Amino acid sequence: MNNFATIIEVQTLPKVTYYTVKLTLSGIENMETEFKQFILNLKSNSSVRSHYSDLQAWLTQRIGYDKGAVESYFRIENKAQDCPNVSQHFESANKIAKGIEKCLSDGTLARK
Amino acid sequence: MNATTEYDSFFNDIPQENLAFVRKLGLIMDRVDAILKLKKISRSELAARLEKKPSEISKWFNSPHNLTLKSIIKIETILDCTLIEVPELEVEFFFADDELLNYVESSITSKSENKNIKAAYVKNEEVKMIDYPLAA
Repeated sequence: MNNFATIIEVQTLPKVTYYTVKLTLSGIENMETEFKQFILNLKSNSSVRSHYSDLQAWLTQRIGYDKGAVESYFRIENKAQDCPNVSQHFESANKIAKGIEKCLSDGTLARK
Repeated sequence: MNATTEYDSFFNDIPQENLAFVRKLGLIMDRVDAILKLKKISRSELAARLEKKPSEISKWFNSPHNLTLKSIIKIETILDCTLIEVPELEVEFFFADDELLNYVESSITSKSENKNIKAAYVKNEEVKMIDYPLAA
């Protein structure tokens, strides 16, 4: 299938392994991974400093060491496609999710 | 800074206060969850009794969302339980100033026979706690 994204392992903790994706877009070389873009965008933003640190602690301690990726930590977003700030990310995420599902069903990607 | 270093930093360079907050919030919400199950109370019922939206309660359970002391006390009251216990200040010795403290310190240390004795003194309106015997 058309290679539009690369999946990269980021961190393995006792209860979860985190991955990120690197989108392959025509005309853009050496694009950063989604996770690195997120870090670079928020790390130096003083207005969200405390929330950023809470998120670090939550993803590491609560999910990584204590609970794992339990279903209740994920929620269905019904309005994301209508929001100008997140619609692009929503569409990318859906495209990646469909790609992963397809790779899982045709056997090119296997569950651990 | 390369990506690996950025990732390592994200998972390892976490301010202590944020880590402590998430750990304590997790312990509190795990306790609430257990009590709800024990008492057969649903999260939406708890939300109604707290006069909050279910989505607000969901944030407490599923994200690093701040839980105020007032909300904690309200939950304790509704569920008839204790979520946070704060030890009361134990004062066995009360000193007014450093000079008196230093004088009594040597005699107490020699008499304490390695027993841990709590002491406190006030300086500039601040209560300071000391464990005896003091480290050499």
